[in-house]
Amino acid sequence: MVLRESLLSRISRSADAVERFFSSPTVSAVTFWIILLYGASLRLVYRLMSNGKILRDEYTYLKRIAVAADAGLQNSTSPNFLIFLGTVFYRNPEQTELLLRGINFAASLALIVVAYFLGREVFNGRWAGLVTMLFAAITPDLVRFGCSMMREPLYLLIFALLLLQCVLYWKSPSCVRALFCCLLSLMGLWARYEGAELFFFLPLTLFTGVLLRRFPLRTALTGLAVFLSGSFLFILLFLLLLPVYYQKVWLKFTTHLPG
Amino acid sequence: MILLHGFFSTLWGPMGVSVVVGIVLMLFFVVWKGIRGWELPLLVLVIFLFCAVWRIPLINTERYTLPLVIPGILLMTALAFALLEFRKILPILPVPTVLLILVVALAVGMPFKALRPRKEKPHLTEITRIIEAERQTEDGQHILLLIFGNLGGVLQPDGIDIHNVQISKKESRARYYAQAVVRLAKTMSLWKMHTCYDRVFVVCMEDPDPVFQNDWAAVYGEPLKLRYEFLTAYRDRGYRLYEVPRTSAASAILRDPEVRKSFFREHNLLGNGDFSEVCAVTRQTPFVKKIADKGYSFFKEKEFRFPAQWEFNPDQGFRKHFWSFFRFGFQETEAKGNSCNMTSNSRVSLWHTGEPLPPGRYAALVFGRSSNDTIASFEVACRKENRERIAFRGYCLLPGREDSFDTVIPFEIPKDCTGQPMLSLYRGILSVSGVFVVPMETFERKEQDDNE
Repeated sequence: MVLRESLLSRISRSADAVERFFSSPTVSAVTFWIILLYGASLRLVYRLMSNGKILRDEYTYLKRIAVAADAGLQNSTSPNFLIFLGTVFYRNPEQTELLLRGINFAASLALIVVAYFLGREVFNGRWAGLVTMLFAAITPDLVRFGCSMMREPLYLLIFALLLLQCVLYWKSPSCVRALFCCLLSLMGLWARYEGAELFFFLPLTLFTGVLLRRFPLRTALTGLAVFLSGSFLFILLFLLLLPVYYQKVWLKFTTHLPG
Repeated sequence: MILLHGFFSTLWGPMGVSVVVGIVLMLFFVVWKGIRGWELPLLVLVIFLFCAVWRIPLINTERYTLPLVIPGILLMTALAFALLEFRKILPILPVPTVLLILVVALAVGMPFKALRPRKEKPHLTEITRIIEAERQTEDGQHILLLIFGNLGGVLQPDGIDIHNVQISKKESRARYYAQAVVRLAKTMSLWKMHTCYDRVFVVCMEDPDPVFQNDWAAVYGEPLKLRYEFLTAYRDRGYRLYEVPRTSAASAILRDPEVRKSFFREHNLLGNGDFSEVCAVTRQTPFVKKIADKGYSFFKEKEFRFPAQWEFNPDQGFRKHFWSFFRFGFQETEAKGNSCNMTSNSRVSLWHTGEPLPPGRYAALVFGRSSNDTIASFEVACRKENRERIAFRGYCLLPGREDSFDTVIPFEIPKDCTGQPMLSLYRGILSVSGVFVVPMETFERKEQDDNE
């Protein structure tokens, strides 16, 4: 009995020690970089393993980018964020493929970093941030899409950033943060059509906050008003400016570039 | 169920289970010890559940559940957090925490396994070389490679379709190969494949039982032609590449799209398969009334022209949701014939209401045009005599993503049943110019005549 108690107390003490160890700034910083490097290498290794194979959807995107680059936006259906980026910087399929994979790889790494901050903010501890970061680094499908030419990595990054903003809003509500949430929601909608769900994140945060008495109803209503008006404004600007911006500026810009 | 399956496969089994356990444990502690300290994990849970519900009408692949991973990994951390947080009450709790993180981290080992040093596998290179050489003999040949079992690596030939049929460990080799032949013969997929592909190859692992070759010859007329053999010393394992000979005269004729179309048209059993007979439809027509009951305004005019012997079935997933839309247009042209044009983002079905088909084996030819993102199927509604219940048999209508399609679908109507063909559109734009159904005996008779 005594032996079992001493074993249990030893386990508990070890857990305390481990938590203290990973909570120290130096150790957590080193672990942070190790996990990030690990995540990056996993994504690159997975890409190398697939021997340059292009998935069916990736091929479709490349084809749509090539068509959009030739014909302009008015002939391209639903130019999502990724296709827009590809069209703007289009030279030839090989370069565009490399560019889009590079963008998505960077987005995938950024997601790992955001996961660290998410974990740290939600659970108030560096070790929790590191655990969340580890999960984000090794989740098989996040690795699989890490270097792909799909819309997922960009969307997931926007999703995670918005979630982080909601968590930060929960801690200290501010109008700037609410406006930033609008912008991220719009970017998410542009990245994937079902991204309309992002427009509900801040209202859900406000609703839960009022329900759990985190902040008063007045703060929540102010936040909601800022968010709704910001969303309306951003969507309007987006719808008005995107075609003009695309056709007048970017196409001109790209046609004058060498290559 | 699709959502759950997608979530577990996207998040990888053990991680998915951890998320669920994390949610349960978190809620347990909230009920037990109060909400203090758990507000933010609860907010994450609310967003997670909202995203899951949001996705229910949207998902068609696992990719659509991928964003759930973000709140999902936070809920996994919540599990670790909960286990560690309550170690004062139960000091053993850190052990499952460490185990959880270790088990999840083991997932990392999986991609690295594929990079381990491996022996050279000459059969992979050689099979690739043979297929590449065959492909280059005639430019633009469509080649299909059927692989029975585990090839032990990845083949590199580009631009060919590969269909891999895995062998279950429970099945004996002889039984497996015999079943494979029967299965292929039953669905007549080889016959179908020869109308879609110029060359069909088969790769068999291990030595197929001699019965396999005999069965094959009995069904397809000629045994498989051995093109390459690689034997290893390991448990008599070998890799054999066979070519499926194109012996069937009928299948050779049916490769030409125009000949195929005229052949099907000539022997067609389906009334008004080319939509040439047209009748006027009013708002009082039963199927229009049914659709109107579902909440759709079918058309604004008083009268509408619709192909005779065809109608919409509103009972199959044809429900009005706030996100759904549906358009139907009937186009009459003298030169190209009539066509039914449909656009939808939820399921709509066009039923043939003429004389039902008796039991037997048939082949259907459906041709028309589609958009890149169309998902559609050819289905047969089978009904037993004096029974209300209908069993649906679905077949892929659009194997590729081409603008125009011309698909041959072999199907069977079981004994004691009658079948009615139907076309189902799940998403995209579909313009059908004709649906012809011919009994399989017609092909067999044609083949006999050709041989004689």
